[in-house]
Amino acid sequence: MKHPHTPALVPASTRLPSRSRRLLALAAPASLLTAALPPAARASETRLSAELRNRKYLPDGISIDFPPLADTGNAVPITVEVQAPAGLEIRSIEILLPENPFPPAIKLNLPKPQARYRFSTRLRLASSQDAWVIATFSDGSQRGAFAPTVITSSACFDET
Amino acid sequence: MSNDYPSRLSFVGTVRPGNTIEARWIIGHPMDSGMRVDDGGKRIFRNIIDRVRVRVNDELVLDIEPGTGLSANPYFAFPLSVPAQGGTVTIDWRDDHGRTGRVQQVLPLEK
Amino acid sequence: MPTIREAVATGALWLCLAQAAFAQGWPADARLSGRAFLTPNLARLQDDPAASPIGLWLERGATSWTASTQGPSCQSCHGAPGSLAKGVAQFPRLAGDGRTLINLEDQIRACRTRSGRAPASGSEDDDVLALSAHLQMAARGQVIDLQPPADAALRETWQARLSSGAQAWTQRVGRINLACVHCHDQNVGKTFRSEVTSPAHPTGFPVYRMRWQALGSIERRLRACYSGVQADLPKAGDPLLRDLELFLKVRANGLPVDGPSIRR
Repeated sequence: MKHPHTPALVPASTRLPSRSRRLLALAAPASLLTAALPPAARASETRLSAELRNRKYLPDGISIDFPPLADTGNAVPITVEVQAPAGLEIRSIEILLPENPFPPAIKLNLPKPQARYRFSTRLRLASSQDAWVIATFSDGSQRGAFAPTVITSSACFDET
Repeated sequence: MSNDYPSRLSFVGTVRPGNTIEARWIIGHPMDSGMRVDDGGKRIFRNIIDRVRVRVNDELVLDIEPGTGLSANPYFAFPLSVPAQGGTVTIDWRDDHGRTGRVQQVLPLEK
Repeated sequence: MPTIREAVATGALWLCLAQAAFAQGWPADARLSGRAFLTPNLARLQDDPAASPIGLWLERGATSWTASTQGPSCQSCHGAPGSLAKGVAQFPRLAGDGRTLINLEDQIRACRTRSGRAPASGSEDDDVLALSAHLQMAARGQVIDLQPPADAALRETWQARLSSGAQAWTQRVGRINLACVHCHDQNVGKTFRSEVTSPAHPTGFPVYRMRWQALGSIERRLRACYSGVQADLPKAGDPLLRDLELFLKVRANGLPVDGPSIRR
């Protein structure tokens, strides 16, 4: 079943080939995560990450509270605050996790666009990565910012 | 509507007409991503909340599309504007197995 | 196969530990609750009643405690959960048969069945965990106090179970070939990958382990340790797990109950 809100941003080629997906399914549970490589050596970064950076979104007005070192990839708290540019209002805010199997983590649609919006949630990260926040405004324009995090390794494997 | 999963809704801030308060909602949903395998080696199918609608006095104020990138027992904190006459906050959720639920709470107006 | 010298040394060690468990002279950092080893983010999560997932089980437990649709409510016999605080901090204890060591979750399951409810699926049943969380929350601050029974025969059984637990504490197991003592006594405060080793005092159960993304019992956590050293997991309900829990509680005598807690 196609994921209901796969955005146009995610080209089909970023979906993992079926063999990798089977391997992922057979691998240890999502809680067993590998330590991150330092940013310079992130050779396995997805195309979506590069694409998001190439769009050169303006990050102004977006502030992201996200721990640089996460206790666990299972639940990483994030607080996002968006201030719309003068004369515009926020229509929607989206969080994308480019290194996750399904990058769109959450999308908030505001039926009554707001000049300012702040929300919190807890993300589940498959690996160390940048969390991207894309805000869409009343005139269709977008701004975007990201915050990196490193997922730390569990000490012991827990099969219970 | 089935309300399989427990949840808690609370408000932070002075609940007075015209004020903006913060609503905090957590629901005990497993949010299975579909990537995990159980002890027997069988895949645990995806089971996530994929729509959340928040209303204040029947007016839709927030429409959330959650994905697999949210944690289990998901938590949402968001602003709400207290209407002049006070009222009720209603949260309707739906997961991709067809389960639905509704949480309602009257805004405790302060004098 | 351990050499005779190793076996004697191990035996002497666990005898000492069993006796020392009653002494008060542990080094300062060995008397810390796991709470002290939490990162600021996780401590903050635990302290926030709106955001902490433990709240979901606490609310369920409070509702279950007073529910009378499937039999008399817990409240009708026991009153307020706070009145049981002293007893809650004294599990595991010998059951009525004088032989079986039962912990709080076992007691809850027995009570539920006795009052006419359908049997719970096990210690990890959400209703059992919710009630356990509700009781442990009400017992917060109560000092852990495990004492041998007054009756001579029962005391002998109890002592044997405690010794068995102490033996398990020092027994190397698994492919990793470590005993509990190696991490939780000899390497407290040392970093194991990104986690800091605590002395493993059982003050914060039932525990919301971030790895599980669910609340779990002390039994589950002990089984997880066996998993960590790549040993065969004792089955749920295995008396060895109760013996180990008894040893851990006696070792933690004097520490206050934290109530259900967040852990990594």
